[in-house]
Amino acid sequence: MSTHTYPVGFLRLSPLLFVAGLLFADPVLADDPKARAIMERVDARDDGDDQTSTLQMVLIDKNEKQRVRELRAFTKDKGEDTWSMMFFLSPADVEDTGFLTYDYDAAERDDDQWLYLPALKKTKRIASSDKSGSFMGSDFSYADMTERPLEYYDYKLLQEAVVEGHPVWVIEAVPNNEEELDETGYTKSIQFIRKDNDVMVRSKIWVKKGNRNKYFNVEKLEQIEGIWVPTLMTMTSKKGEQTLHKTILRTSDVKFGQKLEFDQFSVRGLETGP
Amino acid sequence: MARAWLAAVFALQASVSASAQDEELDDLMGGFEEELDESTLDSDAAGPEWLVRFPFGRWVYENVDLSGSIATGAVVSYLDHHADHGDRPTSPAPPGDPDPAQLGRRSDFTGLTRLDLDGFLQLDVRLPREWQLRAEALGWYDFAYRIKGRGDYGGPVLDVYEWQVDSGEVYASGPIHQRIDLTVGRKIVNWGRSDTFRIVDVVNPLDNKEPGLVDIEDLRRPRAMAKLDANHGPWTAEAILVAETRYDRNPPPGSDFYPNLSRFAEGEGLIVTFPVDDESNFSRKPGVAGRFEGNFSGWDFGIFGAYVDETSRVFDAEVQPGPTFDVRLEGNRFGMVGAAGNVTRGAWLAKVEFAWLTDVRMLRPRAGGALPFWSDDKQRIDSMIGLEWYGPDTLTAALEVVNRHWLDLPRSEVLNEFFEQSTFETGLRISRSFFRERLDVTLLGVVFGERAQDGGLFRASGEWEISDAWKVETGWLVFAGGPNKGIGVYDSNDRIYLEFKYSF
Repeated sequence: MSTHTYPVGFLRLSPLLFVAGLLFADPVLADDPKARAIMERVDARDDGDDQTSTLQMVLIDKNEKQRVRELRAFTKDKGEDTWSMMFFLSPADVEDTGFLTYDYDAAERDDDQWLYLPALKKTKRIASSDKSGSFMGSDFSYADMTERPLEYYDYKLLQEAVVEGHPVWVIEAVPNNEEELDETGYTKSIQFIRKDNDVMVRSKIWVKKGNRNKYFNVEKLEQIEGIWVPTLMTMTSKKGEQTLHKTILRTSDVKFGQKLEFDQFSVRGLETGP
Repeated sequence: MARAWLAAVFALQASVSASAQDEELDDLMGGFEEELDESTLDSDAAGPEWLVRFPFGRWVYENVDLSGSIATGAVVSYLDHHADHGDRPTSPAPPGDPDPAQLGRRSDFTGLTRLDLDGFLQLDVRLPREWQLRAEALGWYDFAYRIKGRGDYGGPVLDVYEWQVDSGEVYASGPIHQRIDLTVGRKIVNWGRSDTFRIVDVVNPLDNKEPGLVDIEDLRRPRAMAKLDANHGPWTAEAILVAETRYDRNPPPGSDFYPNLSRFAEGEGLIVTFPVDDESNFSRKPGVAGRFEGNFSGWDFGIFGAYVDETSRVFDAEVQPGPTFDVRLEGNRFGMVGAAGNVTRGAWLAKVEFAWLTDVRMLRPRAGGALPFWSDDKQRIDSMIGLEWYGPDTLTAALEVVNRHWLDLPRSEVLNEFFEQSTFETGLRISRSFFRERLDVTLLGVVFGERAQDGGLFRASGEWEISDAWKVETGWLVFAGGPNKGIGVYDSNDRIYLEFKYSF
């Protein structure tokens, strides 16, 4: 398996999928206060703390051939920052491989990341990498899995609509700086925000590389301990009408308030295992 | 009139805009899949639930994990390559006979050099009070020797390469205090920051039986120890009592990676035998080792110390009376004080390691006697600097440069043929995944000498994920020629390999 970086800030279970824009100089892309207010509500939504969960990721290629990855995940908030740790449960040859990430809220600060390689019996510090890359071979990117700064985007309320019987706001998100575009690899997204609980339930993403689109969909949304948690999600990569690849992400055994210790999010915790 | 015209234009624009928005929304909605068939998510990850029907079955189901792998692989050396037969003493050519091949049989290492079946088992048991038990076992059988004729290979070669069953890590570990862990058993401790070279990583011996091709899982050999780890915030302290003396597993005499050492006794007309360097015992005084590390945002450091047996033994040139003598391999205890650190910035990671080694055994010129030199203990400074880059699309590149510098190296024509006061090693590793991490490709180059004058190796390998359980790996290993020392003697050992592996 690759030893590339695996940021794990996504373990908030609510990929924000903020996206980047293409016409930075276009005055039409001026920010919309109403849209921004909605996105601030999305950002402020209670997504829990001291969380443990099990993730199953099914990667499906265009020939319907499947690969399955399962992980055990732990997250804890430290102020505005998020500390997270996850371990491969399968496939068997990478079992116990672990990732520890300190995901800093400050945009200018690099995340700290460590990777535990059980085959080498070694924990290795790794550098932050390009967040536009695929997360563990899935259709999710690292950028999808981390919280993007709201101030890096201009938002525009396009219209209101109904998704699966729930009223939603349809909001366009466009990055307002080139660094964010480069980091995410996205040129634009349109997001569907449920009005009743401020959860983003759908998103269409325009990917700069390969002129592709990605479609994010929350298939199942559950309220666990009072917190809305997407427990079944899909991300589909398409070129035109043709599906290139699809990822199903299921979360289970979700628990909040587990009183996780900060010391647990350490090299020692990484080597001890889940 | 003008106002009416403007109103009409605005109304038309609004109508067109609303219509366009509806079309856009329809387009947007059309891209999402209608229904997800959740049955596609079924997996066997739940494990063997039938266990719970048995006594203690629930406990076993929840606390015991047995994993491992079975692999079969083949290695083909595509260059003409023979080595002295391991059962015959390596000897200098008798006077008047310049061809050493006439002295005895030769083993053929051309063509198929490995066709093996190997297995690895790992048992993990979760014990009460957060303790855990791990036991690993590994072994292999190589059919190549039976296919090519076992009689053509020496006993030491067959002992090391034909089949083997060994234990891996076997230990119990758990907390004895909120912040202190105790580990007792055979364990691997991997220190340092380098991925390719060993600087402060001195505790565990290596498996070098097939240089450049040893599986990463089997690279280090565990050693019996008692280990205490204390952690608090970013700080880690570790103290180790090393109870077992265990050495590197090196290519034995008569193998394709065993250099021609007849020059040791050249001109003396003596018969020299070399033992297989593969044993362990608990009889020596325990060694000690420890480290202290701090991990911070963007950087870390560690200091290390060890007073342990060297993992590689050196020739002890004690000569017995008579025409035959054994060049014995003797263990040696040495000391190490070192430091290491990392700094990250953006996609870059810089790393450094430094070690001051005392009482490292080496060979020293001798005034007289059967051999021209004997063993001596010296000091050495090892240092490493490295840089890693984490690029787009899982591309990573790592460059590491090592210098090993002997202090007070005696001047000797014979000695300096084998030892240089200062040597350089450079490693470059480039890796990238393709096809959504289904294919991992790694290029590795290691050269010795500041101008690569002492040889090197290059390996290109690719691992393809056939399914979640099956993988196939293939690669090409090339040794660059150099002087008749170090890795330079391997320059006819180029090979290709292929391995299928099933993990469970």
